[in-house]
Amino acid sequence: MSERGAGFGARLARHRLAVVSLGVLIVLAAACAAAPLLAPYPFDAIDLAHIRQPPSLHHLMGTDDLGRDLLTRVLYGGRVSILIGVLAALLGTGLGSLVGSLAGYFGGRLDNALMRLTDVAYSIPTLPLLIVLASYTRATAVPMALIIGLLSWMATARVVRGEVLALRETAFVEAARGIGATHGRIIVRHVLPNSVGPIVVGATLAVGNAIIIESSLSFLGLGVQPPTPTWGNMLMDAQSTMATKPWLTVFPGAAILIVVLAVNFLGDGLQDAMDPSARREP
Amino acid sequence: MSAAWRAGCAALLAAAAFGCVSGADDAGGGADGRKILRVAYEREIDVLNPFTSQNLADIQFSMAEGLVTTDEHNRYVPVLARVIPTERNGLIVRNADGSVDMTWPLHENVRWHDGAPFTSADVCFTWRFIVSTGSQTYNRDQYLGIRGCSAPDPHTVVFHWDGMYAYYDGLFEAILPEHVLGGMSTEEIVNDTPFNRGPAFVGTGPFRFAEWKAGEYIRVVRNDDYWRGSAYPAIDEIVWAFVPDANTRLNAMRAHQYHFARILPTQVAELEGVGGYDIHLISSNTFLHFDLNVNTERGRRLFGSRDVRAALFHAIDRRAIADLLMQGTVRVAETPIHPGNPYHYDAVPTFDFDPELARQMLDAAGWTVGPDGVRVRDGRRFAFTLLNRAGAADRIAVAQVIQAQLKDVGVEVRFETLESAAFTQRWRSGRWEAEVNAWFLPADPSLTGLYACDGPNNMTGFCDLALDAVMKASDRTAAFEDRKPLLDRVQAMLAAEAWSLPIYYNVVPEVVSRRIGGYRGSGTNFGSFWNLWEWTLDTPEGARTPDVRRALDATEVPDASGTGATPGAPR
Amino acid sequence: MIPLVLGITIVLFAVIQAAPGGPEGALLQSGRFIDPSVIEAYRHRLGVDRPVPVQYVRWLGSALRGDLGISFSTTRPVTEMILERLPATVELMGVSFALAAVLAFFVGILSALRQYSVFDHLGTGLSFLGIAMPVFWFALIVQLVFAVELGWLPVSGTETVGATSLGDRLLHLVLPAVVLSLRYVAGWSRYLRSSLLGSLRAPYVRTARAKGLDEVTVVGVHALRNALIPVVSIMALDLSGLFSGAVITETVFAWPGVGRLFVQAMFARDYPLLMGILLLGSVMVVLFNLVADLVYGILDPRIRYE
Repeated sequence: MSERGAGFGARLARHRLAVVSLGVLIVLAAACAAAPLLAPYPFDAIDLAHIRQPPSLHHLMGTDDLGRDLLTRVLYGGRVSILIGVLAALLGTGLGSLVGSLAGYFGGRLDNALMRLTDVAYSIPTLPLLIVLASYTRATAVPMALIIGLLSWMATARVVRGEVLALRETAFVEAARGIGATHGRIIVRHVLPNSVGPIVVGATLAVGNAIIIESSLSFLGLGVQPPTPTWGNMLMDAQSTMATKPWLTVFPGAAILIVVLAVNFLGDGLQDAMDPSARREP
Repeated sequence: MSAAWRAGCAALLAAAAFGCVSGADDAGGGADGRKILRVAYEREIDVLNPFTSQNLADIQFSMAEGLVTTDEHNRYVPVLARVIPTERNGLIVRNADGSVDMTWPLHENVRWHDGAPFTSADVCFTWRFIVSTGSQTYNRDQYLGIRGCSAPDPHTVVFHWDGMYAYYDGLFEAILPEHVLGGMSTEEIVNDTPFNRGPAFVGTGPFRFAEWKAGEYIRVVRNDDYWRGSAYPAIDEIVWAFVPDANTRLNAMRAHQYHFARILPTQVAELEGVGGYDIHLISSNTFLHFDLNVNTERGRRLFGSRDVRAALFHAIDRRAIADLLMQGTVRVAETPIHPGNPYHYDAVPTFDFDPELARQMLDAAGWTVGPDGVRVRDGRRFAFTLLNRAGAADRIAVAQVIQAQLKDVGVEVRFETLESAAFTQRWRSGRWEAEVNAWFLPADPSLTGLYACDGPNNMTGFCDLALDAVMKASDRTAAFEDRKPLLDRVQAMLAAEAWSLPIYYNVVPEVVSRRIGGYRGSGTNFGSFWNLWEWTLDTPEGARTPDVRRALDATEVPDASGTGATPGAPR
Repeated sequence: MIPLVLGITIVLFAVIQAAPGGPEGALLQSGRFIDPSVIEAYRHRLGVDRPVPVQYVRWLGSALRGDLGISFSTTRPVTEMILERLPATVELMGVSFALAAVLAFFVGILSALRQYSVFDHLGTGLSFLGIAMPVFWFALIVQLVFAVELGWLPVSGTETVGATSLGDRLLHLVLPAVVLSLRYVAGWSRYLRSSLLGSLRAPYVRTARAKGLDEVTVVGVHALRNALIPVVSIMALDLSGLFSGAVITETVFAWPGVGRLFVQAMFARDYPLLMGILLLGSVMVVLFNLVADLVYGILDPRIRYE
């Protein structure tokens, strides 16, 4: 185990982009978490005399349509957006992996039932159902994250099931069964680790997806509501003035871009580092 | 690159060269020189029948005409009627038993789009339809005072009212064709698709229905037999394109894709420097207001006292909202009735921005500032929840400003934002504490529905019987000289009560191409297309017609280079 | 299958009805005063004043006869309303899907074969951009740049009314299709790349190479076949989200698709229309899942279903 662990660390370190991304994410998340300490202004400090000012010494990122300091809003907004992303991804991926591995491994009636459940969940296109649900959830971060997560497990479930189905027939799984390992042990020690690749890819995409979905909901006027800032609703508020006041969209948009990119590069690196082929040897 | 790839690129570029940059402003007409007016409309209408439509819109009125319309000064002008009946011209006769006979003489040479003659029978048929149960007409109750309709000759119609009502001259904004709908029941008419959506729809207006492509556009074409004369209309075709997203509309105007569009006040500054358009800030009869509600226990406790309400209002800087937040495109309001309306009354008590005074008044009412900055009385904090409708960006922005300004004087405001339909349901239940909302008032200035104790749209729980009496009296008075003093009193009493703080009169910025002539922007529910019949459209081949008039309250906003917009504060 | 669809409809109906507010909200939105009796009459006419189970049974009854009911907001048959938006939806989705599939395969395969090369990083970077940018932001940027500033393409709509042609329609398709396909390209090429990388390292590939088969056969036939399994599942999923997934693109480019219709119907609480669209969507999903299952069977002979 330690040998594999050491190999993992080394392989991850080789993936420079992933390492950089990890660093960026840590810094950003820390900055956002420390928003009350770092932010130069209170996040609701309205200043009507200085609406939509370009970046300056007083306001490093400029001000928004109510005169609030944009840097402050970006920092506070990050707390909400990142929280939503992580929470939704954890919920979605966890649920999806569970359903998918159970279905793929046991097959038969359980598989049928779980896949029927997945089908039902799929039958409703995500964004519309989100729109329906958003009209009765409170428009704050945690409920939003929950509904986004609840609607994202299906993709992971399907992919994991596919992987597990293929793995079920491989030699080493049969061997493990031959020596009397329990199903649970087989799933946890042999099957899941080999499907970790797609699960990790799924999870990182899910974080990014959740942040993007939140911004889509904001665009439709749902999502987390003012005055609570999220990168998504800040982007939405400023869309009319994109051409003449680009800083209002560039900063929150870039924030989303950087975080989602970083999370994806990291997932990429993690997947390469885990390198499933090393495990496929019996 | 392979040969196929290169060929493909070349083909795409060629298509682009031929097909693109055919913005409406550059190629105003169709290929054969037809004058096609392109309008970017902000919503798709539901049905063409103006009485069953739940959104009154310009599109229907380009085809359907009524007895009257309103001009840009909020005055009623006759359309299918030759004159508007008044007591002075003898067309209104009061009978001994209190009933009133009103005679409307009609124009004689009017034809429906399918060639049938327009007669007084159509008018009486329209009345019968509106007052029938299930007609879905939004202001059906205003027609109930008409007890009978008779047509002594094909060009005269007489209404028998049971009394005198101030709004009589604003009814019948459209007429329905009896020869098309006459045999059907009310239910059938309401559900009749060929009439409501398509080929069977006929009116008497300058344009007739051509095509409705769902979700995309409605096309109307010139009525060659229009009763005002063969010279009218001067435009061959109008394409009403549906572009509901405000930002897309703005971008479409920037790219000169349409001749006309309505945008948001906060977008006006974005069109600065874009040539070829004039921006008109049309005062819509909509005003934004901050309402308090005493239906809930906490509401009564916090807002029950007039002095406390007044104190809150003094803490709000409406001038800053209008001049800074809305960039000077709107005007501060002191009363619900718009300045363009002759019944507008200026000398009402006002609540000038004075946070010091607000603090003193709150102190005097026993609300002292607590350790966390929020005022306390009897152990309870001065904190309440403001209800917002999700997506109403302008109101939410104003609400945030109010939140900050009230915080400054020690009052805590929390938000609860509900999605559109959920908001409406909650609002109608009356179980809310405060809101920032907007009312659209028809041309008739009656405020009874909003502020009477039993007013169907009074959800605030406020009630003043004395005010009720004056409002209802004014509703029964038709003559301006008699009604004006009554409505003045109503406005003064309302302001003094401090139930609700008017914030600003909204404007609808209309972006109008300079190729359009005859535009007279109007903020009434007839809209700016009320005189479409006399509009002209200059297409690149033709000569310019500089006949551009503006609405009284509309502000043309030129900038130094003679194009685009510089927001000014209309006063 | 039938009980499944039935169950779906019950769940959907309940979920939609559970949302607060009703269709009368649309009447009151404009801020005009509406007579309360008009509102009550309206609710009664639409049948929403009856208990929810009763409404469901009525809906189900007519749906089984092929009648999806009458829309609240337009009083037109739901079937008609959906059918007239379908061509525009299919047009946009078909073009986007094809574009995305071609690009995704191209990028995904080349990235996997030339791992860590400049092309891989570029392809990776660009496809990540597709996932990492909020759709509406990207759509607005391309709209601003290509339609407003440069004027090369139209801002919105499907055609220039009164002056339309095939070329005109194609030009109108470019921006929305590119915006939509970029998201798919991103996801699919990523999955294909990771999946192909995985299968390229599998023992059977080494065996195939050892047997002396040429690279094209090894990659194209053996590795790719297995790599396609997860990707196909994702593609089937995305395809089945056809109707509603394009809401944002449809809004920004004023494209008259079914997605936008759904959003409008939701705000208006137009239950029959909502149910109609969702039902159609469900049928699509079930159909495409079947297709995906069939393709699994073709691609991997080890997986067999009854």
